[in-house]
Amino acid sequence: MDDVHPILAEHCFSCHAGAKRKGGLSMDSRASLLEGSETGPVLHPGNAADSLLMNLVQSPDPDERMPPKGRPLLPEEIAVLTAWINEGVTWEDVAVDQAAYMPSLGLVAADAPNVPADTLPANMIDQHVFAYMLERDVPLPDTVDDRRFLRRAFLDVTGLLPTLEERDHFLADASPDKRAELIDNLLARDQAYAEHWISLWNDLLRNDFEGTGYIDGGRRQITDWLYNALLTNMPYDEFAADLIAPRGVGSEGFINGIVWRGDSTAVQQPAMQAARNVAEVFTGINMKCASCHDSFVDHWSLSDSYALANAFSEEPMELVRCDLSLGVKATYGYLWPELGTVDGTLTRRKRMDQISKLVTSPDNGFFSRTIVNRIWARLLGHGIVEPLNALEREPWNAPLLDALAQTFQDNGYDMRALVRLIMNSRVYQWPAVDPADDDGDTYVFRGPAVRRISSEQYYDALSTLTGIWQINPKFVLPQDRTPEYAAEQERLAKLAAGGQSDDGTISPGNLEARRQVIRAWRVSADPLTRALGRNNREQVTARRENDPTTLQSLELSNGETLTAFIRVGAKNLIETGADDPAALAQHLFAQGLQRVPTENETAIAVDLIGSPPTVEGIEDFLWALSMLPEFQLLY
Amino acid sequence: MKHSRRNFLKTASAATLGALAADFPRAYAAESPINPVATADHCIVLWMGGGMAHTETFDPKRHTPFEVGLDSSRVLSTFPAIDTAVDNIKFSQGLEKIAAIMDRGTLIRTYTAGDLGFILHSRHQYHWHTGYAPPLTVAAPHIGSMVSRTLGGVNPDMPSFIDIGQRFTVGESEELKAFHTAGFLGAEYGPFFVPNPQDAQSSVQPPAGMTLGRFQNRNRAYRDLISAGPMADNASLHQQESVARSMENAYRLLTSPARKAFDLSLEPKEVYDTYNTGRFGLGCLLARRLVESGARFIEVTTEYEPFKHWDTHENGHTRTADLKTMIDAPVAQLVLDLEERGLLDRTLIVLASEFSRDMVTEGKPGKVVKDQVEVPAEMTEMKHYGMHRHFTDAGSVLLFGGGMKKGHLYGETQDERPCKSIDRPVHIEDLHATIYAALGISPKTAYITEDRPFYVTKDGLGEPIMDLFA
Repeated sequence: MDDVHPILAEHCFSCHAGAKRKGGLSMDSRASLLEGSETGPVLHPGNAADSLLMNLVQSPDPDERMPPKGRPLLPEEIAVLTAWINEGVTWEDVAVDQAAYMPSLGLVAADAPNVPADTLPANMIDQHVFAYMLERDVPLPDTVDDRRFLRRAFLDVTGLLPTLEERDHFLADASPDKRAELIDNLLARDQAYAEHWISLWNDLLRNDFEGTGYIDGGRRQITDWLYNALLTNMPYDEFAADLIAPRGVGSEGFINGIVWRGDSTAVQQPAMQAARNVAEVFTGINMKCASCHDSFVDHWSLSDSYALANAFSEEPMELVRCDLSLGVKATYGYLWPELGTVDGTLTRRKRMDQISKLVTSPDNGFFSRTIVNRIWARLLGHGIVEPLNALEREPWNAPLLDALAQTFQDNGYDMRALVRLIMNSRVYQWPAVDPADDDGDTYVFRGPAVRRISSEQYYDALSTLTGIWQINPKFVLPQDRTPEYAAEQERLAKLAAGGQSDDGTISPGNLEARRQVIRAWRVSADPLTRALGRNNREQVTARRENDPTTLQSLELSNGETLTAFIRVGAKNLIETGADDPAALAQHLFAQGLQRVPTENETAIAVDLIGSPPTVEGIEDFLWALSMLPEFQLLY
Repeated sequence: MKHSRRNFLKTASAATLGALAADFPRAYAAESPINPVATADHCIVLWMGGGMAHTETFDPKRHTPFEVGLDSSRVLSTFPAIDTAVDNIKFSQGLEKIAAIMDRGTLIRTYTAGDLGFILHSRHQYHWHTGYAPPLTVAAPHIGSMVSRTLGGVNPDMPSFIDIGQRFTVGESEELKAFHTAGFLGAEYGPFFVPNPQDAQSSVQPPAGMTLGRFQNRNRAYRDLISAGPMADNASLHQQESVARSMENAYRLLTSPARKAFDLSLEPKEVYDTYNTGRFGLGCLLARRLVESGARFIEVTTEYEPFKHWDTHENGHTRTADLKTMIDAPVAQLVLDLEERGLLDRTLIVLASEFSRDMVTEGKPGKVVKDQVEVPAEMTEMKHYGMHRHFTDAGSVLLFGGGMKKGHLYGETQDERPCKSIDRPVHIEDLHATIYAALGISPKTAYITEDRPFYVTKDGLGEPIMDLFA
């Protein structure tokens, strides 16, 4: 049956399943199939040769042959069906105890969470999660200490480690509201926030400085638009509308998609890319299957995909199934017709506006659920619903998801306000738990999941430790767009190019060129960032690979990129006055891990660094420190 | 909302549902109807990047010597044919050493590259290496990653998929990167790159300038810091353990005896010199050493770079002569060395290219492709002599070892232009199915990504060419 189902689903179900019973035949169950059609039985279990179904699918007469449209069955498919009928038409009904989960289109107003009044927390996330935990008899953890909170908060909002002054100030602060104040303070750092969160959006929106498609102008960056949207905290409904139906200049690269060299299949026409990406990015609906044929794994159909794609196409589209044209005109519409219609007589521009209104409609619960879930997953490791691009799955806490989504709408689609709300919850501030402890099938929330820092966070953290940053930026910050800055860049690039010779000596010019703060997201991917998970942005990526691999560790252990970066960093520490190994060890522990090393740790560090410190010794210590799980994990 | 999802849930088997429940790749292997018996444990792909003309290498046609004023459409081969160790197989001049060992191998003459519209190198290379035509909506894995994912390494200390010779600093590098990847299978199964075989040992040694002693010391300090730190109490923490364990794996490779396989300086000088026709030749030597040490899948490329190597848009004859010199000795020696070591029987060697070349005009009626380098109808200079345009209707693939027949010829091409396949054309799906089957992998093996099966051969439809197996 495992082989049989896909064949029936592809060729038969569109006319003979569910509401469709063409000729009276339904394939909904074994019984209905055996009942046959208006003309009688269509198959005889145990006797394929005598079964009408087999005769029809193999008929040489195109007027008689099934299916009437699309390609005839392949010999392999016929062989599978023949064997299946000869073996008695086995049919494995899976007992579905409860109806398959189907989220409603609109947000559902939740009942007040059932938490005893005396312990009712103020934060709505805490209300929902406390109720959830109490129901399961899970004890409520204490929040993490200030040091761990500080590290988490800085990395989550700005992607950077705190400076020593920031650390000392926060740890010394006795105010009971200091965490909320820190969160506000960090969220007010427009540039740092934008420079961190842009990587999430680059992954989702397929935006990069290099990649396939650029070779002959088949693709455009949206970096400038995106950076500014994050810098100014553009409300998310406007943000989405500007990507779906660009109003000005700068955001078109997303909806226009990638035009690759050579012929592309129907599923990669720009309008189909637009439909798929709009569905996936903004509403967590994966239309990849349905952009080629009716999906076998969910209810989306080929015509749904084309109806959405049609809005983005200059010319009316025709349905193409598995690269065979069906000769059927696509309709116009958005995934949920309940939300409204798309008028095919309008211009492309106006149809795109209609789509953007339907996507961002307050009645479209998937729109706000999807972004709320993405940001939750970013901050707590595991989404309220998983995978992040499968929003029709059952969340572990549906009332929480919808309540958060409703709050997000009520707050004017303010992304930073959402981050603030989550980070101020006690739930966010709980100790991270080990996802490996999850037992099998059903996810139970017990706290944030341990996360690994991203490749950009890792590189920037090394920069904070050493004072050495990236060179050759591919993006110039708006405030730097002056002739003076450009001239200075040119001078520094020359200095850097004179840089590092084969024997590892580093010129003063190289150090100087690398001391200006240029964060890792602004440069091209290199072997190190790729090894640490910076992805090829040819596909929409909701979440990068996060697990350590051996190839990655090889890159970290002997890759030229990291070796060279750490070498310049060590040199810079010497140049800027590191002469006491114990003091240097203390400094790097404080900077990298926000804590004081133990005596034992100091001894190990001093032994490595050398007395007086050597470039090699500092290199080795920087390497060891930055490889520590304590450095690489958010826990 | 529509109806059919619930119906699907009612009719799908528990196994399918279980597979669908997870979002990570999962094998469909249990449902595979074919369970081939492995005839090979290792696979080496020798990649002729840029388009190797079949009529100038393994499928010679009528030879026409150069003369000024020659009508280019009359020229089928610019080299004379030579005998091989097999009576009914002729090669083009310049491949004498491989010709002498043809009795160990099988030659496919009818490899027919996919019709991808325009004939573009990086797209056809993507198609050859993944079995799927780009652009795709998911990141397709390289065949080496599929093999690595399915079988793992022969020796666990060795990276299971090693890619030798391709640099990504050349033209079309983004397009090349797009298929030199494990794609959705995850980076664990990606290629271990050795761009320069001569310098291969540096990829498995401590960083340049670091002695082994210092490297060991650094690692010892790292371990000490882990156990001295406050997280040591939390040692069971999965992430902590997996970070530390993968660092340990890397350290093990960098200090293991297996890494000696990467050190070509350990070869006797005369052996080194036999292979040393440049980076490709040394790549073949490295491949041999890696197979001896238990690598699973190795690709050695002559390297693709636009207008270089096999991408002979002009001066085809002279350049092809040089290329044949580059491959002839090392390929033959690789086969002989593996045979001598008793490894050839379990190592499948596949020499292939993304497509062939010819002098016929590219394109379709009404859609003629503009020449990238002008190819005159009448030859006035030596640089006009040779096969200069892209051609997909035939191509040669050479197979040695790994359970393939010996001294066998498969398929036939026309003796007159366009010299295309006329008997039993071989497409990538079936060539891949043959490679997979030789390695004991069903061509219907699939991994689940984003709820759907992704098969190792397109839609699971590749069929091994049984006539190639001994």
